[in-house]
Amino acid sequence: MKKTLSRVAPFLMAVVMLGSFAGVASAQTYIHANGGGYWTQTGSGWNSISNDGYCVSGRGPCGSNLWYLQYNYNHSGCGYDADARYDMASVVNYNGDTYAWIDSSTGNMYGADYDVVYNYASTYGSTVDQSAYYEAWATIALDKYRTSIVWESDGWGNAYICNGVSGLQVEFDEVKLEI
Amino acid sequence: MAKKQFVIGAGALAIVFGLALGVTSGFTFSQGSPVSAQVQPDNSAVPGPHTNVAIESIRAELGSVTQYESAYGCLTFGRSGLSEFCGASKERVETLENKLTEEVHKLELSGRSSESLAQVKSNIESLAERKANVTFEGTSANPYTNAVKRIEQWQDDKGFLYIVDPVNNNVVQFGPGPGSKIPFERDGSKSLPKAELQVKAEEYLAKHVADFDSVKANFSFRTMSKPGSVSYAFRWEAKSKPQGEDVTPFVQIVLSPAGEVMSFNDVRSLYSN
Repeated sequence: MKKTLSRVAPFLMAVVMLGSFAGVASAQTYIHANGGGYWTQTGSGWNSISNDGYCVSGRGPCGSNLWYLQYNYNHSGCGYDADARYDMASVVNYNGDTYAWIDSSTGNMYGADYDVVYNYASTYGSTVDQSAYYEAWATIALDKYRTSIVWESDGWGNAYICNGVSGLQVEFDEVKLEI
Repeated sequence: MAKKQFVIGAGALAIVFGLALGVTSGFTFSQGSPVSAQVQPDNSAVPGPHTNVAIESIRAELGSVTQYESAYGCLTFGRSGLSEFCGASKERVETLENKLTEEVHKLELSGRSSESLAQVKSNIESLAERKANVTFEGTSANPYTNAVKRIEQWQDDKGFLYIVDPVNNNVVQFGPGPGSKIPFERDGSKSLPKAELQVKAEEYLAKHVADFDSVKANFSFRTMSKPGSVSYAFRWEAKSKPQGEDVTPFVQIVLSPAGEVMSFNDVRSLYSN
């Protein structure tokens, strides 16, 4: 199944001056949805909640086929069972911050595992405490140049690597890149 | 496998910008073509990321080094199955990435007065209710409003990340930052009754949100709890959403079952001009 969404929401200003200059370029927002055309999921055990997450009726730039969030019970110990990948529809030549929308109905995993790929093949392994955020954007990575991929698994992030706790819900919903 | 993309605006601007400066690296990072696109009206008064000659020079060098290392250097597959730099290639690229970030931060802070930065630190310490070492982590468009307003990110020495509105130096959000491991009390036997948690939440907000009485009087209130009662949220949300926006302005605090402040939001100022 693939649902699609990638949104580039931008407001721009091009002040391009050649030679000696101080420039201000476009501020842009890119939203990628779970299940969208730039999303790939593997593994089993996926659950979903309809009309929940960032993209719901009346919120977000998404068609109704995107109005759901997904979650998976966490993998205990090392490794992971299921993972998802958000490919950025456009890669921009700026440092950017990535965020995950964390809802209230799920996401009680306090060591959620993310990788952010930037500058072609540099990787930042992040850990996000989903349990601390409700209907809010949680920062996954800061100031990464040319972010191209956000990857998330149902395992434990670097900060809690190989933790033996199980039974937590890992949320997979919209991610956002802001530059 | 149909693909559609909502492109609201000119995502290619950055590429055009780079081409105009002659600093593109020559890489192709194509991720596919959008099937459909919409373009929003130009909001050209809104500033985006800043740049200057020094930054563009580092970007150009980084582009060349990245191109060389990806062709001839050390690449391996990470646990996610994605290609990663390794060994000396990783070190060489990282050195330039760090140099770029340092230069970007320098420019981003160049317009901020020492009084403003002191106010930011003071506001963070007030919310943290302790002295804290804070580090500037850059700026970006804020994640909440569609009307672009830039924010700053600051990290403290416990791993909390603060999103600051540079217009008034107020903290609009804080919570566990990326990569942090903040040991909130997760032992259910130490849980406080929900009514007691709400009292704590309101006391904290009354102390730190100047017009909290007005918020309570005029916003819609709800409480939420995640599966397993790992945390509790107390949220006051505006009764209407500003035109053109997706997220309704809100004030919120999230407490651990033992009453520790896990995160805080007062995003209202992001919605004002």
